[in-house]
Amino acid sequence: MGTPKQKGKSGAATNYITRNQALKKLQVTLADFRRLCILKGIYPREPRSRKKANNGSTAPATFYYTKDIQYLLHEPVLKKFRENKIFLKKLSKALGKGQISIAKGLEERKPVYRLDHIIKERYPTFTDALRDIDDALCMLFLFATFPRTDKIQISTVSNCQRLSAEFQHYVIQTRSLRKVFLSIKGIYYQAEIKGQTVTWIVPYLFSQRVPDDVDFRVMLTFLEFYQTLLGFVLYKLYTDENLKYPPIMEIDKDESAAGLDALLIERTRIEEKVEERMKDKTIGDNEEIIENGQNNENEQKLESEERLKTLPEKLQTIQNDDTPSLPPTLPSEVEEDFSDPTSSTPQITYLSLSNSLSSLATFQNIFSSLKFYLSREVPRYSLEFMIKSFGGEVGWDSSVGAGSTFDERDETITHQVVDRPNVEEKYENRVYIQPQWVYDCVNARRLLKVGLYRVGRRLPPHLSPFVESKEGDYLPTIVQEVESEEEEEEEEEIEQAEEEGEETEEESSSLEEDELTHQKELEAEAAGISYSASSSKSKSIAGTKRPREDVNSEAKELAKIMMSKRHKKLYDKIQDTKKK
Amino acid sequence: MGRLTEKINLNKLVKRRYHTRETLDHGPSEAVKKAGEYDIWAPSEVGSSEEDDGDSFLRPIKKRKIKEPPTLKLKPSTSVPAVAEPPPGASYNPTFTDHQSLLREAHEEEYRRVEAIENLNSKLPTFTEVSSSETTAMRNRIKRRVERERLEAEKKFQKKINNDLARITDIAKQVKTEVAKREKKLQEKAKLIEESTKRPPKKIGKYRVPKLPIDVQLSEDLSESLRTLKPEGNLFADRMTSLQQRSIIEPRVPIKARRKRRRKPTQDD
Repeated sequence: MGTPKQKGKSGAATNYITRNQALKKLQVTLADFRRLCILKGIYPREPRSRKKANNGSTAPATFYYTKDIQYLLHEPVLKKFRENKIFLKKLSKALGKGQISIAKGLEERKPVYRLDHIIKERYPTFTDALRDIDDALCMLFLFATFPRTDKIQISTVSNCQRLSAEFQHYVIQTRSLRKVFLSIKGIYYQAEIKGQTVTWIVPYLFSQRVPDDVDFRVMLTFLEFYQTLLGFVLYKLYTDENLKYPPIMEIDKDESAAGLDALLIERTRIEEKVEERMKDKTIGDNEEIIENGQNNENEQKLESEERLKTLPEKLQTIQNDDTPSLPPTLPSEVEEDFSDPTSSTPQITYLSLSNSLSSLATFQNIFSSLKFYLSREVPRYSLEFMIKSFGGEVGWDSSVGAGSTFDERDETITHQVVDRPNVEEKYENRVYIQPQWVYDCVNARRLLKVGLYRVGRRLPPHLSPFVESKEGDYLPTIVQEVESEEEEEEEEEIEQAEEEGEETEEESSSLEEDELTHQKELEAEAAGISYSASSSKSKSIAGTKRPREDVNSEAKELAKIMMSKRHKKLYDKIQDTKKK
Repeated sequence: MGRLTEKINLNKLVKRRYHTRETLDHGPSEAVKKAGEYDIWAPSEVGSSEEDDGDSFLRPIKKRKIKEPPTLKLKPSTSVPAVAEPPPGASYNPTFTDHQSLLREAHEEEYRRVEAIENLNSKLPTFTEVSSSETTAMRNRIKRRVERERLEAEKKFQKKINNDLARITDIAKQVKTEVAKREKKLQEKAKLIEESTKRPPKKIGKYRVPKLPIDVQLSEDLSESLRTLKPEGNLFADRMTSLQQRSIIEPRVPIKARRKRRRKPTQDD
């Protein structure tokens, strides 16, 4: 017989500790304890039985794991908190005595703490950090739009703005945005970063009232931790993409509300050299790109040919390319190689892989070769980000902010985003659309027909991309698209009849306009798939049947390999008799 | 002049912040400013170089690394995601059916809340007239009635036992089915308990964990276009509630500062 068990010496009674006990043990104030718990990621726990955990008392109490609290005793930040307390005491004493110089000296030696070790401890790998980044992003985007109150300092808000802009730039650079949803609360975005799905919500501008019942000390502690976390995560993300971190902020541009444009994204040195060798073009300079915008296609062709030669090493660099250029997948010639019927078994997977990759690439570049102009009343902070992350070009009214590289008179603009009921359509060679079109295109993963989204028309419902639509589900955009097409055709027919009757040769008839825009859409749709993908598409149209046959024969071949010897012989015999 | 502003700044540092409505925030801290200066996840090469000079018999004094407890990495087991996926009816321009279903959900929630309040109100004691004092005759009458009822109940019970004795096999069967039923129920209950651990806890510490409100706009409030949209709900409150639901922090209720009674001036003053 061992020693008899004593009450309160094992089990829940020792595993849990109440908050007040913890405070006593750590010798900190409640406020400091709360901060420490948030920073270290120590959560309140609910014991299975409160009575057992609290010496028979059922009074409401917050419990923590005893071991967690024990571990907190060794925390360097806790030490710093104590030092800070002493520092404040000394400072107030000096000030009370009117010893300003001593106070100044003390202030210079103010204890400061770092959170690096906590981040490393909480997120041992980078993937761990990415998995937990949703919260951080929501918080930062929220505080980036924080109204000016006495609760927060402007420097904190501007730091949040900087971090969120940097994150958006990363998403644009890597084309990793996947879904977007305009809800009544705010705008939900979903991106795929290094295989992790990251969701965050951005409030509409000027819409957030700061509630009184939210404890800002708690919020600010979270904010501090998340700012630090995101700083490190962004460093890693940027350096992995061979970008310089932190990107340079152009102060004059930032002050004139250039938004995302105020950041100057730069390549790291080594990368720059490689790129320079490949093409005579500086990277990261927006103006350059726009100047080259006209010759973009030709350049792309040249580039792609050049790249083909050094494909395996340069796959990475292609993906990093700043211009709305080639998708990171294999150019058409290579694809052709893969679909060769004489090729052996493993290439089935290559084929499917390259297919899915190219579909992703076309999705990532749906707005490439489109040029948008944003009117004053549309939310630039969202649309600029959206359009740029799918390869489009954007410009806006100079009264909204600086940094627009072209103005409304630019002839190459293809779409003008307008959100007013009646707008005079001044320019014929562009389409006037409502902002929802941009969002719906992204969720549909293709360019939708603009007919429904014309200015003044009643918009089709904006569906949530977070709900997977099953086959047979009602999809208003598709249904209405078909309807609108029919409608347009009818209209055209009527107009044609009228025109035939009148036999006039007016230049700007509505028919021609319609035709023009329709033509434009078609062009855009074709071009939206970009050079390589479009060519591959045409190829696939030419020989649609071949790959399927190919796949079938390959599958048979595979199945044959898996057969036992006896079955194989039997199978061969059957085939032979069939031939006869 | 510079001296004065300096002094004010220093004074600000000292002041106990939470009693005033001054800024709680002191701008980005040192930790925030220094974040993103190096790769924190890069594999460190420290340690190997130290072990190289193992020839010397005096080992270098190393700081003992404190092992973190296994409980530290245990996340509270809730299935609540950091960012809840929005219901399709929360779109600024929803389909009719989506919007209606969300409206119904919100309505049911509100109905439940109102019902709970009414239920609570109905349970409050109401004043009824207390009967006047009883006479002895009344007391005797009550006594006799109680006695009679007791006897009747006893008789009934005896009769039941007699009946049951006759059909004892039947009863045995009944008991068996009853036991099986009960076991099944127990299993179901265990399952429910397991599921409930994944749900956000109802209470952490002293206070209830608030629910995320269902934000919905009435049909007439829905906007025609993005420009005229009136945003609904509050993201600050949402973030806070979400943190509480995942039991990352405990819910709290702001305690209003108690108003001190003003002392009447006396002659001593």
